[in-house]
Amino acid sequence: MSNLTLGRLRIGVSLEPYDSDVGQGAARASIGVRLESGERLSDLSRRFTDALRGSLERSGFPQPQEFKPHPERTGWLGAVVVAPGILVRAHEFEERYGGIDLGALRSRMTPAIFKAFVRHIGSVPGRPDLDVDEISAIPEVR
Amino acid sequence: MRYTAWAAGTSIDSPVYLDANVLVGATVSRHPLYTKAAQLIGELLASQARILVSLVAVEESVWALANISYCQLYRQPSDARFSQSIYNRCREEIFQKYGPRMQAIGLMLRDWSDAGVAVEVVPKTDADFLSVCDLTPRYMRDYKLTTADAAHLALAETHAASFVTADSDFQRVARQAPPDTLAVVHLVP
Repeated sequence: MSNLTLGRLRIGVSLEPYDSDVGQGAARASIGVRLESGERLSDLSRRFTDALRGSLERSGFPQPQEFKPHPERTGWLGAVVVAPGILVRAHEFEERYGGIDLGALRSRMTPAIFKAFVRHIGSVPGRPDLDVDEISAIPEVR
Repeated sequence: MRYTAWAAGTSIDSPVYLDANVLVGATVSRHPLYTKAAQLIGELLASQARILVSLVAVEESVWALANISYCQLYRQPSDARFSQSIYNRCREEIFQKYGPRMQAIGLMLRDWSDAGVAVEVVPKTDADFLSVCDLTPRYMRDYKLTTADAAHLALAETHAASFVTADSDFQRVARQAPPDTLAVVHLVP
């Protein structure tokens, strides 16, 4: 972890692979940066800026809205912004949100509820042979 | 009791009691019910329905996440036997590798509530609790339900207009039960 100082803000920059939901700590901007093969400096800068904006927003510093509202138009470097601060890779987007009418649901939800909704659905990877009713039953004889 | 097989666009009367299999169904991806479960939850949040949850549902949900984690950790099929003794043996490894996911249901409910969704825990009052205590063994006997399923039904009957579940046993129960105001909303593939 390295530290940068921008104005009065200290920013920790990690060389660990970035996470899809970075900077959970309140009032802390923690950003993971990974240099992809063939990546340009401008790409890295864009990723850094987006991650910083998300972290600041979650830490209580509202950011001017720059995200485009439609997930299908916001892909960059294989990742998708589902809601401000919620980033997933393209294959994960398809797995978790494919077949769900996100546009219609978003139009009927507050931004906060939409974010809480998309943050959690499908957050645990399962399997096609999974029976959610069977696995939710706690054996009655222990 | 009324029965409805849920499809996208089907309205669900509020307040809505959620079975554990629906909470798990929307949190865990890739299984046959996932897309429907997630869409259904989205519809409930969008319609500002009152969401009712119980400790029984949370306990079952956490058990399900432990079960899924065990199967993934030891490369078992999803229907592999998972018992209390297996859990006791594997608990440390499960939490070591998949600890954060064990919080998934609690975090989800907390985030919904923080975002303004009306999430309520049932039973709400001592009188409600005693009603659930009365109804649970009655439903175990009358409808041949497990303890937990009878408790879910009693909780829904006491507090909710709709009971959303992926358990097909409740289709049978809805046929047997006398008509009343509770709607069983069944999540089917």
